[in-house]
Amino acid sequence: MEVVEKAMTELTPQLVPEGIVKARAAFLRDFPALMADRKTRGKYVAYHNDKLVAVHKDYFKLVQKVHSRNIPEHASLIVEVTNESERMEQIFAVEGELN
Amino acid sequence: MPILLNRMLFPEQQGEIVVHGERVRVLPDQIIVWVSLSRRSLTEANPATDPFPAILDTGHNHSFAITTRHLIEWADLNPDELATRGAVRDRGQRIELRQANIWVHPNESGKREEFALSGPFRLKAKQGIAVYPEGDFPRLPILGLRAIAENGLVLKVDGARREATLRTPTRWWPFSLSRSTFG
Repeated sequence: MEVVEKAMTELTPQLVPEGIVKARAAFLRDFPALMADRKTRGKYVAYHNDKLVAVHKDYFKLVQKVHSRNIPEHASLIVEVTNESERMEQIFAVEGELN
Repeated sequence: MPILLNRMLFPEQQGEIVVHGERVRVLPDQIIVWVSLSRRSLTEANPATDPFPAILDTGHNHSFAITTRHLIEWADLNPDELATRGAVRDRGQRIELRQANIWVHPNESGKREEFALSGPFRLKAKQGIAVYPEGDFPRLPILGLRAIAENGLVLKVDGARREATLRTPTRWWPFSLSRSTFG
């Protein structure tokens, strides 16, 4: 089991782009403040590497905003500021179980 | 009010459909949804790509699941075209979550394999689609309950008629109401 877990850990940096890993860590770091702020709570936020770059209430409009700024998909993360999203991103951060 | 599944039949008998020249079994009591996939940034479905079937599975708790083979052969996408958003573990495997849009192609009312003239409807997959390595699961791509919930869709299953309808929510327009009431 330890061998399998070690192998997965070693694979992680190759498969999840560094920009996404940084963006997720930044979202989790900022989450309490994002939830506390009425301007971001319940909305979608976009991170480029470890920086918050845009906020919008509409997911597709935010995708277009990010795309129009030529921010690459492999270095950006769009997340809804909700408790459920934070829970899921915590799972993704450690490559936990889907269920 | 776009209708994504229009009285889609889910018969008691096993069926067969042809997808990209491949004969595919559809088991009894399975609701088929015709879908295609695109990169997250695209605002239109790829007109060159034929839709392929997915099973609408309310017991599946992710938005969309597909094997690498179906992603390549049916969705006509190289996995590397879709940015990896993350990864999870399921059934002892490492599953990649890739950024993509899901397009649902509405069927002709009451018909399983004929499409309506209305164009495909885009669904967001906020946490990406789950791309499974080669294996037995999923046998056919799966559209999960999360996709229905995240996109605010309304699913109605009529057991007696063996039909399923999936649509966007009804919107109320006070202005049109006042016109019909007072105008």
